[in-house]
Amino acid sequence: MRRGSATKTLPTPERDPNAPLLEVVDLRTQFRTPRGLVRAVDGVSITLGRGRTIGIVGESGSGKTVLSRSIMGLLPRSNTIRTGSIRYEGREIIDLDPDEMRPLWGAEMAMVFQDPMTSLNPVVRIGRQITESLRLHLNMSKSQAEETGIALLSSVGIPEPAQRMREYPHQLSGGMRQRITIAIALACGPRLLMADEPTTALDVTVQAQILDLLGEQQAERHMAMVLVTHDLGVVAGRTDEIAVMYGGKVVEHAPTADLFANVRMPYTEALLGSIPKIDDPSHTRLMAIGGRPPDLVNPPTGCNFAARCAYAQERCLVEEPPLVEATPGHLYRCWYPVGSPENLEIRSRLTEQAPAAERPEGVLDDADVKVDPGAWHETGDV
Amino acid sequence: MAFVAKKVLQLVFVLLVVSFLTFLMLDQLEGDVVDVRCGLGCTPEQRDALRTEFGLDDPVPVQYARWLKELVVDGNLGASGLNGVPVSESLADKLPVTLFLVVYSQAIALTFGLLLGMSSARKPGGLVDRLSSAVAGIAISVPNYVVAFVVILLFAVTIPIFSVTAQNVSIEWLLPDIPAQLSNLGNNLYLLFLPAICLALAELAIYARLLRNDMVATLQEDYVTMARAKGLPAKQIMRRHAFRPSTFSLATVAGINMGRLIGGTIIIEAIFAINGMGLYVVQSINQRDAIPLQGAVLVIATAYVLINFIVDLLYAYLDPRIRHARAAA
Repeated sequence: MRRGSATKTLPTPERDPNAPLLEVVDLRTQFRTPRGLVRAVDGVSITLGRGRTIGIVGESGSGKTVLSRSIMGLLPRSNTIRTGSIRYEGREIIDLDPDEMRPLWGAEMAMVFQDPMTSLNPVVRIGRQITESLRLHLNMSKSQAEETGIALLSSVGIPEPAQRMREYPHQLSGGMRQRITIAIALACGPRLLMADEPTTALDVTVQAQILDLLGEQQAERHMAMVLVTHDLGVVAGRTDEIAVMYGGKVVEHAPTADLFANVRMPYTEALLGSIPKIDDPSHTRLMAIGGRPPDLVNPPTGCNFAARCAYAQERCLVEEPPLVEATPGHLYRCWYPVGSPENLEIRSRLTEQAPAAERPEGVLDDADVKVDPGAWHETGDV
Repeated sequence: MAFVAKKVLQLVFVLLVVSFLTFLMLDQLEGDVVDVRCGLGCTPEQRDALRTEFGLDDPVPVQYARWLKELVVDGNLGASGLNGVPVSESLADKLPVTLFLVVYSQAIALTFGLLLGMSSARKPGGLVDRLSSAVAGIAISVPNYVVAFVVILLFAVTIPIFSVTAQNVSIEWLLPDIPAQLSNLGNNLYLLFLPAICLALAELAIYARLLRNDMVATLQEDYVTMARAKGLPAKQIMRRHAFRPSTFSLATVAGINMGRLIGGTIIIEAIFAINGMGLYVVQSINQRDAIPLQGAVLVIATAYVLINFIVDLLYAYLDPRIRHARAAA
């Protein structure tokens, strides 16, 4: 039943100590559905060094959750097609089957899920939910695992950990439960932590606590983290780099500070604009991005975001922009990037029209969107 | 334990209503036990004497009250009007046989239903799943008396490994030594094998499909993905994480079935000549013999309520949320 530690450590020739911890190249994940193939992740490349943090940001349906589950290989195998390359410590893992992945899951890479109300088993005691992976991967005895479990609970800030071990998930609050799922994920000392919207289902007041906890644990354990979120505010101070996803593609990718200082992609700019600002007067209308994410079965020709982009031109609708490098490490996917002379020109044209509230036909399809690019652009330095 | 007190009150209420309705309904039927007892051989005077002895001329509520008083005050279930055999004696004979048969068939149905359901759920749409779905469809739609004749033909006539009837069943609970007890048990298991299979087949199919569907739903839950992300082997995930949350509707249906079967094995009892509760009930009705019928109905209704009570306790065992909600209430 239990796997020995021999299977846990990968054979040395396949591990390369100099390779980055995680290297994803041109990953495509597609689902077979009655409507056709859904291109949920469409050619994503990401490299993550040991102990580093990358934020994956995008709205619902952008493919960010599918991306994190694809990397771990946790998607249901039937009806899912994965192509490209995922290398973990230099070893290709995309074609491993679940039996081969099992020694990695929980031990090398672990996951914190979005909703702690559903990710803990309601009928299994917390103690067992923590100790089962310790016993499996680290071959601990029952009492050793029990002790380690209590220590883990107390390290994630749970009071009276020994008593909590005997309780069931429903006896704890949402924030406490998320601490427990974090303790479970950290149990075997993984090198890579996937945090899939770890604070979305929580009260605003505990969100920061949970993010701080993740940050502390990550630094302490020198663990790399993929932080998936729809909220740029969450990743702002807590990541080394950020990849913004839209329609299954990375549309902008940059070191965190650089991204916030020099936004290139209009989508990123719009995302930033949709964060309410604390110094705005009360009842300021929230800046929403109109329209819907693109259909991933029949993606539009041209730029994915064109239909919702304030600056979209003829070219955007017919020709897909490639991912290009602005400055070293800063990639974006746009014909008229924010800050470019072309973009400035479009922008000034729009500002002239704005008082008449006229919009380019078919470009924005949500009447509630206020087209005021100037207001969107408070963070840039154009 | 307010929970238990509530259940006991519920039981008393159910028993009162059920026994009164039984009395009322039997009274609506043509003829009475005196007609059956006399046949064509009584003088009108003898008839009247018997009717007075059994109190059949009193209005139904009075008869009912008399029966109830005897039960509550003296703890006496009365005797058959036909042959004077005390009801408690007949019940002591027949109830164990039926209980044995019901538990036996349910044990078969649950064991194989769970195994089949779990292996179907592991790969929905896979070979095991499709095969078991097809077989279940047949098993559910063929009536058990048809199954009975087929198995008798196959396993008692063509290949005579089992006996055609099971009338020799004698359930002994307190034999002096263990070997004798075991041999009695073994003999009963052997004699009641075919009837138990007939009763189990459709139930087995229902349990397998029920568990399969609930389990497929449970396997979509986040906590199952989380268990996979811990690296747990598939078997351990099925057993420790997915099985228990998938058994709620199974427990409900199995409970209802057990209760239903205690009075409802009549057809199988008739085919295999098993001297159980079902046969006793039908005989009592045919003979308009009110007192034995009342006794049997009491036992069946009590069994129903008791089994439901056990199912309620089972929910609490299966789901800690229910346990804590009850403890708080």
